Amino acid sequence: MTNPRKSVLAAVAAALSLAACSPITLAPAGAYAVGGKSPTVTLDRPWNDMTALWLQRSKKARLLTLDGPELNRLYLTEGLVEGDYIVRPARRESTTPIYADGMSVTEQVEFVTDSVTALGYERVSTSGVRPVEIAGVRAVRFSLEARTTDGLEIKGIGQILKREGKVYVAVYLAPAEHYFEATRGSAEAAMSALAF
Amino acid sequence: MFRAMMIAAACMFAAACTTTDTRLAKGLTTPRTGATVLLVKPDVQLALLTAAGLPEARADWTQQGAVNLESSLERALATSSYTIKPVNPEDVMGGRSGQLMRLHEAVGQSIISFEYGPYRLPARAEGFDWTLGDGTRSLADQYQADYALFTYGKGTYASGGRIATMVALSLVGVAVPLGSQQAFVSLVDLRTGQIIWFNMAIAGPQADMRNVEGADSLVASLLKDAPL
Amino acid sequence: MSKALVAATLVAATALSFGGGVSAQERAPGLAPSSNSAEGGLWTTSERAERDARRSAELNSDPRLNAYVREVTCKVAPEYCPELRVYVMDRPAFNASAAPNGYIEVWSGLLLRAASEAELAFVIGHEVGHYAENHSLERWNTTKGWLTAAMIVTAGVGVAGAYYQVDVSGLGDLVYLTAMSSIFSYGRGQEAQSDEIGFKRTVAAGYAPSAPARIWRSLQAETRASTFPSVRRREAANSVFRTHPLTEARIDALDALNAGLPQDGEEGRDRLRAAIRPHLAGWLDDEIERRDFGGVLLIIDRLETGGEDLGVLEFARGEVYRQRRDDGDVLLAHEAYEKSSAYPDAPPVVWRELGDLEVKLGNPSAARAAYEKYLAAIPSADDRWIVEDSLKSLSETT
Repeated sequence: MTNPRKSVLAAVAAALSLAACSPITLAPAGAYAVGGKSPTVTLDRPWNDMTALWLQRSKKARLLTLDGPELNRLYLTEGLVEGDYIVRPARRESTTPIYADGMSVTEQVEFVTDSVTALGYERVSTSGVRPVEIAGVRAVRFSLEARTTDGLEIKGIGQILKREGKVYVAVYLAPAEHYFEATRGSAEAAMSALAF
Repeated sequence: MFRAMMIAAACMFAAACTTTDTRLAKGLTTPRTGATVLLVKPDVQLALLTAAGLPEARADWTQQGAVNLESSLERALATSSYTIKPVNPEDVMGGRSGQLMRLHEAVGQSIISFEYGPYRLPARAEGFDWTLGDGTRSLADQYQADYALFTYGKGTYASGGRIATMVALSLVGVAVPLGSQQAFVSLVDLRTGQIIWFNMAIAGPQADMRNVEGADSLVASLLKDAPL
Repeated sequence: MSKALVAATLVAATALSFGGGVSAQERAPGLAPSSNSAEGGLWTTSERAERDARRSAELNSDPRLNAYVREVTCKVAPEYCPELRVYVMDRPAFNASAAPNGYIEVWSGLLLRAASEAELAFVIGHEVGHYAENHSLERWNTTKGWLTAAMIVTAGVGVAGAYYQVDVSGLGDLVYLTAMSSIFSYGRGQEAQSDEIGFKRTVAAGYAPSAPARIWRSLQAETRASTFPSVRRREAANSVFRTHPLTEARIDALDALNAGLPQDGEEGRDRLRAAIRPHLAGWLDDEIERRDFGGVLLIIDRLETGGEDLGVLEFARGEVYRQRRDDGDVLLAHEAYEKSSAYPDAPPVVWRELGDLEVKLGNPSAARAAYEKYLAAIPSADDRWIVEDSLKSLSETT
C-alpha cells in the first residue's frame, strides 16, 4: 500500500524544486566564495550551505553546517564596513550589533560576541583573544562559550580579520558535548584558509 | 527559529492512517540477548486544540498519555530478552547526563528535519548515521545499561469546532492545523553513542495514546522493525 | 471589540468558581485544581514553564539574592508564602509574574529599576493579586472565545503584550516567552484590581504607600526616554492586545489610595541595594546589550541618586556612550570613565577603556598612562598583548 504521506511529500518536494531549488545547497570541498568573488575559504570536505534558511541573515553573511544547525554552524562574512551587521534585527526597530570603523580590537570582539547573543544564545562569553596570521594579515581568534535556551552547552571559535578597511568575520559554534571537537578541525581549516 | 520551521515542515502531512517511517543505522547489529535497555520515560505533552486553534494543555491526557505510552513500551519490550530499566528524564537533567539528554534532543531535531523533512543535507553521506558521541558511556556506567530508548509524544486533539476551521498551511512555522499525534522513538547504543534506530509515527484515530489500546497500537507501529 | 472584552471579563469573573466559591473571595491557600479542568491545564502549562525556568541558563543562582526576594514576597503574601516558589531570572526587562501553580519569577530588569524595596514589594504584590484572584483562568476562558490562531502564532503580538510594555522579542527563547504570555496576559479590569490588591498588601506589610504610584511613573518615564520610537509610542497605544497598559487612570487610582495615608512606611532602599550590589555590573551589561540607550541612561541616573556604587555606575554610563556612538559621545564616554576611575569600586578595565579613548582623542601620553595603570591592575589580562601593541605604536609615533 502506498504511503499517502510519502507521495504528498514527493509532490511537495517536486513543487518546491520548481518554485525554488532546495534552500540547502552543497558547498563542495575546495574553494567556497563567501560572497561574489572574494573572499574565499577552502573547505577540506563538503559542507551544507543553508544560508537561505537563516531567517536573520544579513546580505553579507553565510551559514554552513555539516550535521544541521543544532549540531554545528560556521558563519562567514564578506568584508563588513561601517553600519553593517552580521545578524539582521528581528523587528524593524530593535537593533543588533553594528560594525563601526574606528572599533578597537576589543570592540570588534565585542561586536562578534554580541552578535552571537543576537542569534539567540544565552550567557555568551569570550576568552583567549590571540593574534593569528591569515592571508599575510594579522587577525584575531578567540574562544566562545554559550548555552542554548534549552541549556545545551555550546563552544565556539571566533575570528576577525581586518584588511583594507573591511572586516571579515568567521564564527564556529557547536555543542560542547562531542560535536565541538568532532567538527572543529574542518571549521578551523576553513577559517585559516581565508583568501582574497 | 530553525526548529519551528523544520518541525512544521516535517509534520505538515498528517495522514489518516498511522504512518511510520523507520530509519535504521547502516551496519546495524541487533542488540545481544539480555542487554540492558534504559527506558527513558516518555516526554508527553497532549492538548486539546480548541476551535480558535489554541492548544489547551490537558493535565489528565498528558498524564494518561505518558503512563500509557510507558506501560505499552514496557509490555512490548518485556517479551523481548532485554532487561528494561525505566528512568525519569527529570532525574537525569543535571550534569553531563543532562547535556547528553539535551544533545539527544538536538540530534533528534536534525534527524526529523533532514531525514523526514522536505530538505536533505547534501553534504551528508547517504544512509542513516547519527551519533551523540561516546560521552554516552558515562550514562552506560551510571545506569549499568547498554542501550537507551527515548520516546517523545506530542499531540493535539481537535475539538469539534476546530475541525470546521482549518487554518491554511504555511512553511514558516505554523502549528499543525487539525491536531495530530506524533511520536518519535530512538534507540541509542550507549557504548558508542550511535543512534542505531529511529522512528517517527504520526498517529491515526485508532492509535490515540489517551487510552490503553490506542497507546498499544501506536507503540506497535513505533516499534515495528525495531532491532529489539 | 474592547467593550466586548471588558464585558466578557466581567461575566467570566462573576461566573468564576474555584472549588465552588464566589470570585470576590481570594483564593484559599494550598489549593490544587482537578486535572481534567482548564485549571488543570493551566497548571500543567505552569509546571512546564517552571521546569524550564529551573533549567534555564538565565536562572540567577545567588542564594542570598533569591532568599532576599523570597523574603520580600512573603512580606506581601504571608498567607501564600509556604506554597510559593520564587525564581530570580537574569533578564534585562521590567517583569515579574506569578503563575497559577504558585511559581513566581522576578526579573533582574525589575530589581534594577525599583528604587527601593517598597517599590519591588508593590510589583510582587501586584502579581500576587493576579494569583489570588485567579486572573489567568478568567483570562483563559475569555481569550479562547475570540482570539484566533494567527494571533497566538504571531510571536510579536503575544510576546510584546504580556510584559510590562517591554519588547521582549530580543531576549531569545520566543517559544518559552510566548508560552508564558499565554498564562500571563491579563485584561484591563484585572490589572486595575491587581494594582489595588498590590497596594493594600504593600501597605499592610509596612511599606511606604507612595511607592506604588512612583514605580509606575518610573516605568512611564523610561518608556518615554526610549531610543526606539515604537516604544515611545507604545504608551499612547490603545490596542486591545496591549495588556499591562500603564494608563494615567491606573496611576491616578494609586494616588487616590495613597491620599490621606500617613507617609511613614518603609522604603528599604539600602536593603535592596545591598542585595543587588554584586549583580549591578553584570545586569547593566545585559541592559546595554539591548541597545535601548536612552532607557539605560535613565536607569543609571536613578541608581546613582543615593551616591553609592559610582565606580560601577559611571563605568556603565561610559559603556553606553561608547557603544551608542552619537555625535559627542566619545567625550561623554571619556567623562564618565574618568569619573568612574576615581572610585574604589571602578572595574579595572576602565583604564583600558580610557586608554582607547585617549588614543581616539589624540592624547598619547594620557593614553600611555591609562594603559600602564590597566596592566598594573591586571597583569595577567587576556588582552595584555593588545594593550602592549597599542603602547608600542604609541611610543613609535612620539
